[in-house]
Amino acid sequence: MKNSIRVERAKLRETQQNLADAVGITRQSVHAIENEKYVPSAVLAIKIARHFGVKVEDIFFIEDTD
Amino acid sequence: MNTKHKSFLLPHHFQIVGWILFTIVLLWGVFVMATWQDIDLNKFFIVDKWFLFVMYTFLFLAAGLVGLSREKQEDEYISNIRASSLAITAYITIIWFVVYSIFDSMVSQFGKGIDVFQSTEQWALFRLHYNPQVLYSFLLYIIIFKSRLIINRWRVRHEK
Repeated sequence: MKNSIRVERAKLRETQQNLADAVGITRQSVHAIENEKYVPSAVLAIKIARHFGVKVEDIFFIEDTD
Repeated sequence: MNTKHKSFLLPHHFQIVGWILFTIVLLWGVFVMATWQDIDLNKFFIVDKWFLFVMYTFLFLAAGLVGLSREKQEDEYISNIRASSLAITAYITIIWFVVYSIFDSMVSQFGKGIDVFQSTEQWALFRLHYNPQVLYSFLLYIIIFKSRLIINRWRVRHEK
């Protein structure tokens, strides 16, 4: 699953730590999600999307291999 | 994030207590082994058994406190690492158990005929120290889990 969290973060000029604090996770988790090493749960995906003010499907993209 | 997976883990401060206990037990173990030659050989086996009993009991306790308590910040990604570390440990333990069982039955069957261990006495010594005890598996889990956390933290710190 791909995502555009890094892009959304860049738009807001936000650090990984800021995002982590906002959604209640560790910076390690943000790093792992951004680098597609970890797929977040539905709850966390919704929280991240809400934080950026977009829909979940605008920030997370399913690939053919998923 | 308040999720159900947290409920079976102890609070983080138990981990600190666990590490302190772990350090004390290890230092005590090193001290006893360093002064081993001073122990009366007539009482050697009694001391040996007592020493091992105390050592294993407190190591189990320390390992339990460290391995079963939350990280300072425990989220779903950390829980994921924890779960996969347990799975890796289970695979290693099963492989070790199978290999150990094969060797054990071979040594029992053929005795001194096996070349890997020159004598059954050597095998008995190996068996005493490296048989697949739960403690070793649990320590292995802690090592895998903690090293993966450290590697992840290092990667995050050194990200360009």
